[in-house]
Amino acid sequence: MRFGIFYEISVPRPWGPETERQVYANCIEQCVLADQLGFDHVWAVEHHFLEEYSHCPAPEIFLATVAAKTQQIRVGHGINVCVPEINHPIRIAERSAVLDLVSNGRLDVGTGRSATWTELGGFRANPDLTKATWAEIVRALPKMWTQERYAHDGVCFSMPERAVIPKPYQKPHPPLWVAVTSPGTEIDAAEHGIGALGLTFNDFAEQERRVKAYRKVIVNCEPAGAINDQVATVNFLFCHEDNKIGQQTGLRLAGTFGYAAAQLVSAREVYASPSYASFGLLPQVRRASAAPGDAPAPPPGMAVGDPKHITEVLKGWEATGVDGVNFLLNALETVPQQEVLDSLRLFAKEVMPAFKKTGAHARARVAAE
Amino acid sequence: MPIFGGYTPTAAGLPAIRALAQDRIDIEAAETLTFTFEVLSEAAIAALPAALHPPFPTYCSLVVRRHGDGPYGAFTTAELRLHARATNHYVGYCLGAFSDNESACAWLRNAYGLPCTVAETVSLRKRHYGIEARVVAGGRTLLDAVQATPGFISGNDILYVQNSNLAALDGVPTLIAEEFEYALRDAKRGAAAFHGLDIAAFGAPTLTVSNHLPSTWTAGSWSYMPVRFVIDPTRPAMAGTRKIGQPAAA
Repeated sequence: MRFGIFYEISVPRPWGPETERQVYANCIEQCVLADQLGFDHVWAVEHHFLEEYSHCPAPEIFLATVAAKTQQIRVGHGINVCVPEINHPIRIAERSAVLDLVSNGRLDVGTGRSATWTELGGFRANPDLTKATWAEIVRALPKMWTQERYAHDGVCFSMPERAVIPKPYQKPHPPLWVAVTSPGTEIDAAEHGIGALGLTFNDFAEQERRVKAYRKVIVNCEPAGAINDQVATVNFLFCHEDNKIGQQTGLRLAGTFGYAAAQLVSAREVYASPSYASFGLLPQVRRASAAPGDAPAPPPGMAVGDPKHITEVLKGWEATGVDGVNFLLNALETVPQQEVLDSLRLFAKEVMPAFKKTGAHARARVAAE
Repeated sequence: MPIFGGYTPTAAGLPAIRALAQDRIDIEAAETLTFTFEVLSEAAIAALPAALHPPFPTYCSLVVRRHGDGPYGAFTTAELRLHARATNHYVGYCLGAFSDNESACAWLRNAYGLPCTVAETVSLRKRHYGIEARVVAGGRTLLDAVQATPGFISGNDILYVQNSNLAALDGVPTLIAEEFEYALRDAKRGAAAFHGLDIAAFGAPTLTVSNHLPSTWTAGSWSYMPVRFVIDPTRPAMAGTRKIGQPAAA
């Protein structure tokens, strides 16, 4: 079982001259501490135009800074938006290779296609096509990284033969992942032989079902590149000696996140297309039948509370067969920085030791079933 | 904290609620044609009550619905809705509406607070070139739009957002939750083509259309639901929401 931290880099209004700089500084400080405490991953999203929710359009720059200040922790670009209007695939390959080099081979490359009209519409991308462009780009990237020269004549992009350089430090290339929000994307991940980077808050049974489906399909995958047989899920983290304080703060964190997420315009909301069957993160923290004055329902299995409670919750996630959990630590700075750092320290001291060597067993059990 | 709307309403000119809808009304045969477009944000934020948040980009939907039956006979409505959030709930805040049926128009005003006006023509028709919506009031064409080259999609791909109407409830400005259920049989999507849109006549004199999205059409059943809650338009919806039958929040 591996633990990571996950950044949207949300910035609350009002936006003064120091606000965005301070939020970035806080995130980097958390990453440096997480490295020292033994966390395995830092993931950072790529989002555009998502006011307050995410001010992180250039995660490769954030992650390069993190890599320069840390020793062990892996840096995850989670995700590269594989939509040509937003990122040309050659640039994805080039940027990833450079980041892998400067981080001494600590890069994980996430892929995805954006779930919001705010982003897709902003770049005048066609939501109907993003699944296809993702599939085309994710198969091209490993070839750009591993072939001396590469040419491509596809549907979403083409290029005459060129040397896409530099090459990544990791051989044959950094692990590839895909963001999983819509149901069924875990199957796409398995069919391409890449990791499933879960970004929705499923319940235990649903997560276990998805892991099983993934493990079953990946056995016969048509790999895009080197196989990355991993499933990770996402969670909130707030760890405190007092379980009540931990849960209250954690619920505030989750509620704030859900509130900010609701202000986005999802593709599902405005652009009728089979390409976007779900909202992404949002529905997991909203009850459709409730009135606006009702408190949001907490997602099941949240890692908030005291170390004992969080350990129990994470044992539940481990039993679903996931290989790792990535934690959101804050939303709109609703948790003071010192409390975030204290939460990380307490988690590392009291919770992490219970998981260091047990992940493989749970995964083997699920595989056997 | 997300931005709140900038509009503080007064009761003058608002539809007066006579009795909030308490019964479900089922329309077996309803067709809905929707045109969605972005609008520039500054005026959109200013047009929203302070209880609501604008999403970004700010956008409207122009919804034309033909009701083939119902307690008031067949009728067609055309509504302009500015989309917003009540806490983390999606709502379509109605700026203006028209109907071709006086009784249905009165019912929607009195029971749901829809700012509905009777017009000579409110129509939704299939033409050989697409699906056409028209509104004519006072001899002027307020809407003349077509969903061109419609192609079939799944009804599952379409989402209708619940409505919120500003009305006077007991003489006090109040956002009324106009909720509905639907089951779709057919759905189409096509390009939106506007030959005429008087957005000011739909209650939005300050809004500027900026970016059109594909239009949708559906056919199926449509059910108007009892009003479950209302919102004080001057307070954040988290604090200002009151369920029907319960006292106002502190």
